[in-house]
Amino acid sequence: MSGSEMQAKFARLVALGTEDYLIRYANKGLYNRALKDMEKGVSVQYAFTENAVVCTLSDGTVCTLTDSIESFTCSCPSDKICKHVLIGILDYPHVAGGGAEAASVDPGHAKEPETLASASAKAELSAAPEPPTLDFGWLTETEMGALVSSFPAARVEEAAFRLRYIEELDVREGSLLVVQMKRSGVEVAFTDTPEVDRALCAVPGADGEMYKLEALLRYRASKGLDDSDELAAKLSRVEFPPETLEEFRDSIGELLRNGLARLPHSFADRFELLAIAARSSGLPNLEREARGIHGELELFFARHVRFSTRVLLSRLSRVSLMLDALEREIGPARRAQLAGRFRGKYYTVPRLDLYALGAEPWETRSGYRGITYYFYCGEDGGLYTYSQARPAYYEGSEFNFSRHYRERSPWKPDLSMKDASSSMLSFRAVKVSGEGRLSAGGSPALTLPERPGVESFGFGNLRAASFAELASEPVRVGLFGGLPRRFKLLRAAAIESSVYDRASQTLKFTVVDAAGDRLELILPYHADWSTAINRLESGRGLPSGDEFHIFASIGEEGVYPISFLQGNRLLNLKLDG
Amino acid sequence: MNGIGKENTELNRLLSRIEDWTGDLLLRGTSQFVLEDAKRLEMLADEAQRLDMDLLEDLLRKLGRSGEQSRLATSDIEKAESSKVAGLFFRLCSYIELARQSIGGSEESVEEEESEVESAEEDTGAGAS
Repeated sequence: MSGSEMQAKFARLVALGTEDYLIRYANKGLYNRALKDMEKGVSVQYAFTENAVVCTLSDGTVCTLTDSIESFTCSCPSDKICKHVLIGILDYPHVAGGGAEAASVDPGHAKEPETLASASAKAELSAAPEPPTLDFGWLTETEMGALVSSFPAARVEEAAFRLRYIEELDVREGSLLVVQMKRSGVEVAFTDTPEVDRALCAVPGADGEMYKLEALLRYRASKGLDDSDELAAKLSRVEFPPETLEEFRDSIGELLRNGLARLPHSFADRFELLAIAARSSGLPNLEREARGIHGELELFFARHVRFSTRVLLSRLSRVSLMLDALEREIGPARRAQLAGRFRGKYYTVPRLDLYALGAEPWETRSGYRGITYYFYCGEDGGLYTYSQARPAYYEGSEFNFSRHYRERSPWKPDLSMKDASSSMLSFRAVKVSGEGRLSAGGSPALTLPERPGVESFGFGNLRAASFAELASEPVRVGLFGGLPRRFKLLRAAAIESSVYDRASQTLKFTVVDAAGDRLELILPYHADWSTAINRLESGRGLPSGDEFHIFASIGEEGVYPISFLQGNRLLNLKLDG
Repeated sequence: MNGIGKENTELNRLLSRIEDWTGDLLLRGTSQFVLEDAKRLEMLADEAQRLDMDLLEDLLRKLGRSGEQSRLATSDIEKAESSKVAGLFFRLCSYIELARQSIGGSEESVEEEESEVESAEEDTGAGAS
């Protein structure tokens, strides 16, 4: 390569070197200092060699630049980009514009480069060349898998998870393609070199990598690309030894052939082993089923009352259908969905605004107690939860609902869970699982903006316009993973009556909506919330006058209210006793 | 909360009869598939046909036929035949489960409570971290 070729390449870099470009690679302070030095009269002499440009500054500093801003050396002590490098780039148009024609380059003398006289700066500023047209096509044309191959799968997964939240993009093309994510307030600038890693982002470290990936994914999505299948293939590469499926099939086949009645007790253990095989093969759904079958068989052998043929059959059938599907070619995304994920994986969400809907205490038959707090996110229309839960079956361990309800929240020391359950929460960097569970961990920043009245807040599909709408909703059916509980926010005009039904030990409310339709709400009795029930029965603290909202879970047998909401007030039916 | 009409009552009754049979066969094992089973499946299939449930009818007939064949099969092809029976049997069970869900006549599934406990276990773990 000759010096003149280098000169042309360097001219290209100089043309790329807009203010925005240089500030992104360096920072505003350095850029300003470089300008100030030039104003004070620092000028540069350029000497082109085969693949470098030696810039001798009039203050004595010597830096060697190349055709890329990422590769340089400088005689000053800084090991990062310094103002001298910026001066080397910024001063060139003045030199080139003024006396470039005079600067002939003799390849023969490459080792002893000739120098260019520095011209006076100000006059030629307008002569700065137009930036070259750059091609950022790689951002959309390259395959997703290849683009993210240098990033750890967990990071790509987390970035992909963020796509479920709305973000406003502002894209500017210049020397760099800048993707501004307005909500998180982060900008990522891609170069025309097809490498995501080389993108510029002011956020350092792993978080910065995440933003680069997020910006890439969002940019591609904004161009109408659907990467979900390819991402699924990359993220949850479901590859398992075919023997695992074979073992499952053999075991359920043998079980069915032999029949439960003549099954040796040891047969149950086979499912424990299968569960382990499924785990190490990366098949969480099959693992869960195998554990379930194992437990159910143990119940059967113990002649336990909780044994249920229906539950066992349901599990066996699911395994059978899953095996059928896994053996077919169904595409990576669906395959990953079928294989399932290990629960309890949390991702950091940059920003999450949640409208608290109330809290509900519960106790399971297996001896767990807890309180679940419900929140609505207007952005993705999703329901988020946070649960306090403890096993309460051994001696000395107990779960006091009232105490846990009043204990402080994990996110903000001066905020109790009770208050959190009726607030508006605005999180930064909170950890959330794929199922919308909030984590107590991490160190999210939480602020409490003013809570809008329940009547004026946008609840999307969560709000049912009338009681009639409730009945007309299609029933959801599903075989895998169980059905999610259904929740609704109901608008009621008044409580018509409340009766304690001794036979069923439940408090029953009849509420009327604006259309005059009636709906019965059921609140089963429990010693721990008897005070709350007494209070409700006597009508104390109930919303009066205007319309109010009911946050409720909808079951097969009826509608179970969790909280009453009116304006910005909220009553947790079982907890605010 | 769904109004259960006459048709659903009949369907519910059919589903219950099928469930009785599947539960029974699970206890005995498909190696004890007898002529009686094939007859019973035919009857259930006729009933499904009467209710215009083609897929259910088809499943029941196929299962009956397959069961018969596995009963008569020699040991050589026995294994292939019995895995076919198993496949059909479990598809039938899944069908019933989905049908139950869609007409809303089922008992509360155990699944729900279980997932709550499972998440509770995770939460206690996550809470400590």
